[in-house]
Amino acid sequence: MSNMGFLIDRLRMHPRAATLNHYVDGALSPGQRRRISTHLLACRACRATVDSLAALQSATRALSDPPMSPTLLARMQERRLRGDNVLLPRADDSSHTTPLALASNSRVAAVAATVMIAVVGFFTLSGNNASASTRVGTMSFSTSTPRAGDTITIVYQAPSIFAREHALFARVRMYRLLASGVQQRTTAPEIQRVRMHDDGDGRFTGQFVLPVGVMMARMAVENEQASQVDSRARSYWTMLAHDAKGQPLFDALMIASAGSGSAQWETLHKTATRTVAAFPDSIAAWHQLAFLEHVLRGETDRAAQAQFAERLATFDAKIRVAVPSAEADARLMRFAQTIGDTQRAQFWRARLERDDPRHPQAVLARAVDIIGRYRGTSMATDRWREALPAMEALWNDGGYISDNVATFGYQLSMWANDADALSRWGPRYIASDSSSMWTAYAVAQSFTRHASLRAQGMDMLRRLLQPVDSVHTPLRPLAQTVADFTRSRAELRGSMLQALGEALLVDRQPVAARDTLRLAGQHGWNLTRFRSLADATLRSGDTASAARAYALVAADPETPKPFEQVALNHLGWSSRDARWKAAQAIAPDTLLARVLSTSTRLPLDIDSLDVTDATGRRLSFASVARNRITVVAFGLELSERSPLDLVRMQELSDALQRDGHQLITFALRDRPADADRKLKTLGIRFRVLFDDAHNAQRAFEANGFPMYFVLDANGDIRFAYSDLGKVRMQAHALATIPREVR
Amino acid sequence: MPPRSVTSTDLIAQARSGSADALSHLFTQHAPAVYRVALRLTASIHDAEDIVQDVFLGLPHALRGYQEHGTFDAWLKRIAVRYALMSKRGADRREAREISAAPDDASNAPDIPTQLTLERAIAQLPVSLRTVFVLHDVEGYSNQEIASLLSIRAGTAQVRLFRARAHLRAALEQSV
Repeated sequence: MSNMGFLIDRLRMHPRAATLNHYVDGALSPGQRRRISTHLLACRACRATVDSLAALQSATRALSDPPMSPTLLARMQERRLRGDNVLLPRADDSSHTTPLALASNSRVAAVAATVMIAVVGFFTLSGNNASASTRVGTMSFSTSTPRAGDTITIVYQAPSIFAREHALFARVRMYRLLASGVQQRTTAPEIQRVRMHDDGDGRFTGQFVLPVGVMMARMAVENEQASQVDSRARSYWTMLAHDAKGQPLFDALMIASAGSGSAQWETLHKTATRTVAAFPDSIAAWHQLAFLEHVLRGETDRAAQAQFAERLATFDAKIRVAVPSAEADARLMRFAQTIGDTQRAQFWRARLERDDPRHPQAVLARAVDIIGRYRGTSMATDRWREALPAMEALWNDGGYISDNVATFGYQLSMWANDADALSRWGPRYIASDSSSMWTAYAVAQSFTRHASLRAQGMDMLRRLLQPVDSVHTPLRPLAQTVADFTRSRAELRGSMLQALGEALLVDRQPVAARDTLRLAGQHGWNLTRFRSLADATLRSGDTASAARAYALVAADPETPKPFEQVALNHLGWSSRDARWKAAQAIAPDTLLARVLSTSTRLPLDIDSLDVTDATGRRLSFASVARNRITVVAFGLELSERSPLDLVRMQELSDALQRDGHQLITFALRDRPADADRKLKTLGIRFRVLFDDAHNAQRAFEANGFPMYFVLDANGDIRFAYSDLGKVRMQAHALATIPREVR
Repeated sequence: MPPRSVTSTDLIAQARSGSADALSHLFTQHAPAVYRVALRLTASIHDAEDIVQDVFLGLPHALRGYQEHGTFDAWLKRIAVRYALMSKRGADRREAREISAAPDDASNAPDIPTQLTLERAIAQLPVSLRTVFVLHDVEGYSNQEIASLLSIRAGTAQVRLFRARAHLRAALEQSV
């Protein structure tokens, strides 16, 4: 045999890689094994392969169990006590369909502007894939065209968070029309809790009567203790009242698209689209759609803008020659204002003033004029005081019809720092928004800042501080569990206690002030609160405690450096004083603990979150956010008039970078074609991403429109809806936690 | 506390009825094994911890379907594997995470550099290969069982296994 032939023979005899794997696994027959063994004696290459396979096998068998966090049992028990449930697959279910597949079969389709959304489709499941398997169920109704007085059967297929429940409740918020007009006004929402019984296999049914006069019913599902809530990812299930022909009532659609109940913007936009399709001759419907279009996409959709302009022109031509109607005047005026047609807006305003000068929209326009007339470049208090008589006259001349005038008047009296005006406008403002405790708190706090109103303000705060923690309170939003509501109430209580404590301090009651501010400072971390507590504690005679509070404020990176000297001046100490050194020594750890006590943990599926950069390149959010602590800010406008202070954002970005973290901002509107150029023109060097598909908005939007968040290096949200002044400290705090236990 | 190698029928029955103590005992005995397989399948400490918690949270309800064929360990592990496979969160596009594999007792430990390197190499495998490798070579499932779990053919599972081994061998050789 020639050498070449020998080699060819040798090559032909080499076993395949799979065979060598089987050899190492001991999966060959005895005869096969003998042949391979014989080959290995003469073949170095195959012997090396077998040796390395065997070494791998040996190393794999020798792998020890990775260490598990010692806190895992405690965390599981804590979740169990919170009522967390998980539905596990069976051990032997080979035909089990993954929950993700079920969710993706049920996604709601997008709707074109001219096509009416199928009423049945309106009630089918939506919601994001990642959560549908455990948190979002499906709901259907016995009728898709309910009328007032109808009894409707609700059928709900529960997700795994309700796996152990035998009864669930549909919590229904109902809206009645108070006044129909350019803006639909509703009465304060009513709440009903509809019990649903377990039919087995996770299916629950209940019955609900749509009361007469109710235009819209919006619902979420919760368990008995309201410790778990399915709000359909905050898009809720909605029932609209219909007429005898099976059409949804116009007012029902308008209420549904008007933002009642804080539903997601996209849900409102879909409803507005549906309204226009059903009522194409309604100016109000077109105006509402134009407004929501502007909110979601600004003016980037040229085709939509052109369509709105064309509709406005059509309505304009028609109404000019029709019988005068103040309501039509008002609607055209607002429509024109929304799409920026100044000329038509002025025309229709003039017509409105002629036809009904006391129409709410006419009154509101005059209120806006008053504010505009007196707004000078200096915003001086005296200038605003001059505007007060005009606003008071407007109120007396029919302005009381408009809630917005109450808001303007209150704001004006604040800017003017006028106690007398505040005493009148404060109660009017509260009456215009009677269901909001935040409004009442704001007014009470503003009262405490004036000597003549302080006692009244303090009484208001004390009344507001009465505990409200019933699971049935109508104040609890649909999407919130009792725990969430209690937590948000705790924040409000902290603010109210702070306002009361500061008022007591001014009122020369330092001990009461100190005790109240201590209560206020028990929760969370608020620099102004700690500072007020330090002042009150010092005035009550407890210097040591005051020093600790001052040191805590001084330890926060957002506190200006000169504050330390201010504190020392108050204390009458020098910076070398051992007591001050001792207070400073413990302050950083105390501050860290406080900051971390306010942290949460909301998993964010950053791997499936696609965004685009300024050049239009698509990328995964994970690729920018993973492995670094990230502050995320929403709402950037690519213009000088951005609601985000660009200079401040740049400073924050630079500071975070120095700390080893990063800032990422999301633009408010869709990406313009020249985004890259605009960023350079504005001198923006921090990272800007675009979210045209609103994926990021949906992912972050748990409790309202997203603003500031701090993510850990795994991409989980640890501080949600944060304060821009706090994010740097929060990022620093996260950096101190070992990554394994985040 | 019951002997580690035996899970008493009483303990299971109590956990099934909702006893928190019994569940804690089961957790102490079996969670490390669940964590091990979850961690290697997901290559994520965070996800593995979530999976362990979820498995034990759902265990009382799942025990209604436990019929005591075979050992409890094997039954629980099958559920954990199924759940971990269902719970993959964008695993197809996820970067591999660095996994700490340092054993507690260094004096009895195998070659630590090799273990750390091998763990990392496993974590860095493409997810389809990693899944098969972990289930077969680490957890001892057969090709048929793996094919059933992943809804693929047995031949496909085998090909993926061999490719995973080839990847790992190359990675380990480069690290020497």
